[in-house]
Amino acid sequence: MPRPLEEILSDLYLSNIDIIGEGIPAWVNALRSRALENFNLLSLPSAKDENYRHTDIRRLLDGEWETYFIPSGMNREINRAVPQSGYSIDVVNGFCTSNELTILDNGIVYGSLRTAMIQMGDIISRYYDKIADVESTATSALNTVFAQDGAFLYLPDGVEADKSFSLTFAYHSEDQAQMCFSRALVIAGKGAKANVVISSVSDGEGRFLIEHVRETYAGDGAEMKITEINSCGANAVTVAGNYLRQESDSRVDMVSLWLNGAATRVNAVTDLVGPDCESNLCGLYFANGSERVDVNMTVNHMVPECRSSELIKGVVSGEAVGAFTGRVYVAPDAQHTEAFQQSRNLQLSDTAKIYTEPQLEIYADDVKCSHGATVGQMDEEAVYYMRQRGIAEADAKRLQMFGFVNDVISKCPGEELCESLAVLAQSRIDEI
Amino acid sequence: MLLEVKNLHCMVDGKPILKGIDLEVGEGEVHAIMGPNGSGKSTLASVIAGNPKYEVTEGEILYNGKDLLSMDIEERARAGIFLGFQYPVEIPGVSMANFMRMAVNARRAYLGEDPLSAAEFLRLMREKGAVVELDSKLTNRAVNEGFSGGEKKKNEIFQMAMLDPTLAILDETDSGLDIDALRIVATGVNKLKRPDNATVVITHYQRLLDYIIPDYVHVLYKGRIIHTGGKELALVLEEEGYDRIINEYNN
Repeated sequence: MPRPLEEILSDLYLSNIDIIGEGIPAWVNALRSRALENFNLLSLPSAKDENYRHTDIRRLLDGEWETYFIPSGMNREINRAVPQSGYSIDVVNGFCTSNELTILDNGIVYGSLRTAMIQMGDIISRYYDKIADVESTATSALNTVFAQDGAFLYLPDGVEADKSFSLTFAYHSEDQAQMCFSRALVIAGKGAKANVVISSVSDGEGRFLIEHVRETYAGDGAEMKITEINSCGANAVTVAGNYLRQESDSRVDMVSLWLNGAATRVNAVTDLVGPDCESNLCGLYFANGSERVDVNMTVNHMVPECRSSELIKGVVSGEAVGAFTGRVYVAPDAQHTEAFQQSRNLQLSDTAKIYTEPQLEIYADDVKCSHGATVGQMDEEAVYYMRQRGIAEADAKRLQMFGFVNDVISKCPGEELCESLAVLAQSRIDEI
Repeated sequence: MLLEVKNLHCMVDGKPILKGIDLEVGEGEVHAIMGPNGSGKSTLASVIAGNPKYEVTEGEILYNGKDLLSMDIEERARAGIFLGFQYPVEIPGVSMANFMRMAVNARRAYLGEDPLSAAEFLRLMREKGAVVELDSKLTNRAVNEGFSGGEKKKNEIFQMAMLDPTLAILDETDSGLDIDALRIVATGVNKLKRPDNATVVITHYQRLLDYIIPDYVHVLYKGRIIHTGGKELALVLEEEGYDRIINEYNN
């Protein structure tokens, strides 16, 4: 009888416990042990699990994955998704390329998460593993068990960054099938302002299982713009937990792009825990050939007077599968909540599948909440209209598809970033 | 002859709509096509433009002596055929500028001209926008998205000005326009008139023809042109309606 997957993964940790925890503060390693217990108690979701109907996590994790608990693939040119700008942190196969933390004059700290754990334990311990849902999400608990390093960004209270931050997670494997655990912790103090661009890219011929957790904290009145670009290619399987916590009066504008990947499962959870928060979450995914994308978004309105809006667009073709589940929870006393959700999808082939499911759980009685979902094909009338103006049929279709996705891309901050993302989206459209 | 329509028959969803249209349009001419609802006016415009919904079952169309029906929609457009849509289509996320630049450069390539530079293109946009008093803000928006009815129609004439067509067919461009918008649209059309191009105006109402003076007025009824006259015919039709001409035809 084959050993259960949980046992295999637990053994992987236990037999490498010394090297995984080496040089890392005891409090972090204590979190690992707790997470391991949780992971075993929870066990990985099966395909029968309501929340994992569209992604068989067990099948994705099961396999002959190689895992290295030391840095690898360093000192290589990173195949970036967008041009680097501002302050950068590069993480390769889960490890930061530099052990140094950079401290700017205004008190901003950025660099290796591992080094931050060692040097800034008093601050980090207030946030690390506190924002992610390691209590009920087995894959996130698993990340805490194994994560050794990653990207760290800290903005003290009242600081406005003069430039943007680029956090790049690169994955490199020559020819192996490799499992990588990577982690990000982004903390914006009270009233801090920042623009953060997070990208995931890969190179090499090998396959990847990327197990990623990102924790983002927006303190009282903080304003953050986050752009996330996932472009790890057809050899990558991604299982990600992206967690965001917003305190009162904070505002987060996030745009997430999932451009490609053999299989992608994302749990994106936003907790609005202080009144008067605003959270604008936009997403766009492409799935072609046999790719699968499964985006599971949750927005928890825990307190009154918060506003959230979600716009998620999907483009599927070939035999691909795209799924979006949008859960909005409004706590019993979260009055005057405004929560809007839209899911818009373009299905370009009869064999591609789209699943879109709003889940609204509202326990307060004075709220404005709405949701809408559409699945459509190309608008033939629009194609005819463009052709009548002399635009070739193929160009008209591309232009229309680009129009569909540009709605999301144009919400990214800065003209240059928008332009680079438009180029990425366009080249993806050309493949479809 | 710029356009020769000969014994044109066409069907849509298996139902015959045009039943033998004959029409000749020469350079420098303005033709008005009038007729009751459902007579086939818009169908004729769509067939000339190449809308794939319509199936030509008999007859031919020559454009500058060439077989138009064998040409693709975009080929016809590049060769100078412009259709002003009765219901202009909204294309979310596609900017007017981007859309028009592709269209203008496709036409220029057909004419053997180099594509316009960004600066030249912007200048052209401004210049032609002025022809129809189109708010420059509209050209920064997505194609027809959120435009009012009047703005959409002005936008059609703006596109016509940008593309400088040889044969423009305006399908009920006047419908839904208030008198000011109507004047602006008509003035735009008149400004674009040249001895080497032609305009076919499809309309329900005489009032557009107060501004755009046609050389010929055709009455379309049940898929055939049953009567052709000069500009004064429009006035007669306005006064008497189509009944007398239809009765004469039926007899």
